[in-house]
Amino acid sequence: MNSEITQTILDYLEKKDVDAVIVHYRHERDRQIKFSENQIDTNKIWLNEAIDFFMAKDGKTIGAGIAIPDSDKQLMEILDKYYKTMLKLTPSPFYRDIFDGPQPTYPNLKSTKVRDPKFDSIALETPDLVNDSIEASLKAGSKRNAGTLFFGELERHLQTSKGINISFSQTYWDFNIRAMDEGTDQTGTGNIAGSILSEEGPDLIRKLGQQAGETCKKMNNAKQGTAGTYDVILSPYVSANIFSELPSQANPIAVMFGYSGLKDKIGEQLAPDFVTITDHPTKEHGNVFNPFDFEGVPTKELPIIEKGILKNFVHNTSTALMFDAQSTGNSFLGDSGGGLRVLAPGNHALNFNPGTNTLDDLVDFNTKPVIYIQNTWYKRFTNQIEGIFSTIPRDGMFLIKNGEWQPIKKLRISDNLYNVMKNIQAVGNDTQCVKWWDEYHDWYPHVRIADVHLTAATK
Amino acid sequence: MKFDKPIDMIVGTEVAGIISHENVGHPSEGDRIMGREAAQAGESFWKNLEIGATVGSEYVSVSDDPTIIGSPGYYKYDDEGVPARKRKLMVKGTLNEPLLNRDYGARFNLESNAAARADGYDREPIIRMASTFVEPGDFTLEELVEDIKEGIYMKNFTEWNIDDVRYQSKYVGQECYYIKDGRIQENIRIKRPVLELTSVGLFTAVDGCTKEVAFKHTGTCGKGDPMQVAPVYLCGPEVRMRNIRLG
Repeated sequence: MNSEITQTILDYLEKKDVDAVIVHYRHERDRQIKFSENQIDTNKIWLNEAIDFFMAKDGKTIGAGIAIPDSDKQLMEILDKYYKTMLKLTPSPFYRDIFDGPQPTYPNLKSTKVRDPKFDSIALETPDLVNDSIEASLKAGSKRNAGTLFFGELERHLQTSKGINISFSQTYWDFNIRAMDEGTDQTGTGNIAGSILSEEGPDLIRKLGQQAGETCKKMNNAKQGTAGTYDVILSPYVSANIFSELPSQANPIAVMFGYSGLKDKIGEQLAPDFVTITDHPTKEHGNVFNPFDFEGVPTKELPIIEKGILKNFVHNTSTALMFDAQSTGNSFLGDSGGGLRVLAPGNHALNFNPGTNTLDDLVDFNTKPVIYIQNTWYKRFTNQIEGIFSTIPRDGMFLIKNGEWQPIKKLRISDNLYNVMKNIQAVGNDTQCVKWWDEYHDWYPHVRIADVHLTAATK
Repeated sequence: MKFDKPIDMIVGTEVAGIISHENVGHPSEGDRIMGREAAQAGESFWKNLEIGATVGSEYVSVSDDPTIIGSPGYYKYDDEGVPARKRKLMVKGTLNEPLLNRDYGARFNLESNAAARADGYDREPIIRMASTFVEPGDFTLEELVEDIKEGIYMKNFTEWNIDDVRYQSKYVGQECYYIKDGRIQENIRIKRPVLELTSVGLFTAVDGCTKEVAFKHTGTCGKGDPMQVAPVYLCGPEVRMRNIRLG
């Protein structure tokens, strides 16, 4: 079915003399268990078959994602509508060409670490895994728990008018739990993501429940924090929230749209020389595994910040041609709103290389008091180009002074991304794959930073 | 210009709109109050309060209304088939009613007030806002301004965020003017003033609103896991607050 429909679309559009076509079939089987107040609320399945396609003619382009139509006749009618709409557009300033083929080899296509062989049977065990995590959290001292377990399977088939014809499938999962007391001030959290739930998940899910419950208990009698400038230790969740931003701005489309401050900064030292952040499409046991990009270019790990220096921008074929560069295998068909998609470069999975420090090493880095922050959300910008932002901590937050962890609350990180990057003091050895809601995802460790500005409400 | 002492603020219709959405609309969601969104969008500071509790001055009321024709949040029936009506969330500074669907209406021993929306066939309807706004007051903008000795008119905002119980909020001004001796100084712009206030601190400081709500600020609100996006209005009149220390 999947290669038939992609071939059908390709044949039909090539008859219309388009210059380039990309067709991507996907079949998703996704499941989610959502829980709150210590009970499972919903246990859902989504079965989704869809086509993402892109076409170009005389520089004009259009892309979309559609459900599989009932018949070939209906499919052709849909394609005709998009084709006619495309002809009415002006040529795209973001498009030059797609990958020209012939089909290359894909080194990571045969990886065995991306499909859960027990995907169907583990689904039957997942309610017990969730309940075990809740139990572990309650035993550790919480009163209420909420969260989600999401897992799924994706089969993909990609064909292009330039000779690419390739299939791949993978599984993925992520889990988060928030532990709370009866009120709203005393909370803790845990989250993790991976690819093989049956192997990676069971122990981790239980441990995270315990971690969340322990943090919740330690947050008892948290005091209002005092605004000021502090050294901070960010958990992997907060590192993901903050340190995803600058690397994702290393994108020519972001520069063209005016929301990247990295335009002329290639070669500039943005962080200390022990900091390296890459885009890693095929890191095993993660949530993302892409051996090829949307144009069929083989992917590879790309250093974006290497030893603290801004090294590379991500490129697809079009931006590479525009900026006299090479495609880095980072082409995506991104959502531009209203059901339409745009072919543009993006990140597969950001990866902050681990350092050599344990959490104790980070705490004992110097004798200054340091604030540990377990989670944040709502990172927002006063000015994205200048890097002025704030993000608001939630869950565990502690002022560590003379070895004692004092729970504090109600502070906000209000600082500048460039300062925060430059002031990294030390990196943890615990890079892990984290994913929480829409706030953050990918591979991050604990990080210690000097002189971070924290504010509080004035009234 | 630096402001070391508390000053008076007038926020414009766009700022009043986002305040109504973030500081009142979201904490009024019944499922959030009862913990269903705790792991994602968070809970609500209304959890620890009763209906009738005072969180603001008598000069400020906030409503949510899906029946405003032409608004992005308009509907005649919600996604559970309940006829839409205006919801008065906060009336003269006191909590009046939460947003409810059928499930949470029952849990609150009330009825649904038609707040169930889903953004697609494959998503469960959950409690969402529609068009949230600060209700109009009794003043013209000139009257609000002329009673200010020193202050700032924050016409719109650039950055905002708020904690997960919708209590500690931050709004950073974009186009802002100095007010001196009852007049907006059009040639004196104030750069990025920061309003970092609790919801109660903010609403208790309000002592006047203008007579007309500007129904024009659209937005998309995200909630739920998987994420659902709802088109909404975030509106208000101009609102004056007294004695505010900038962040």
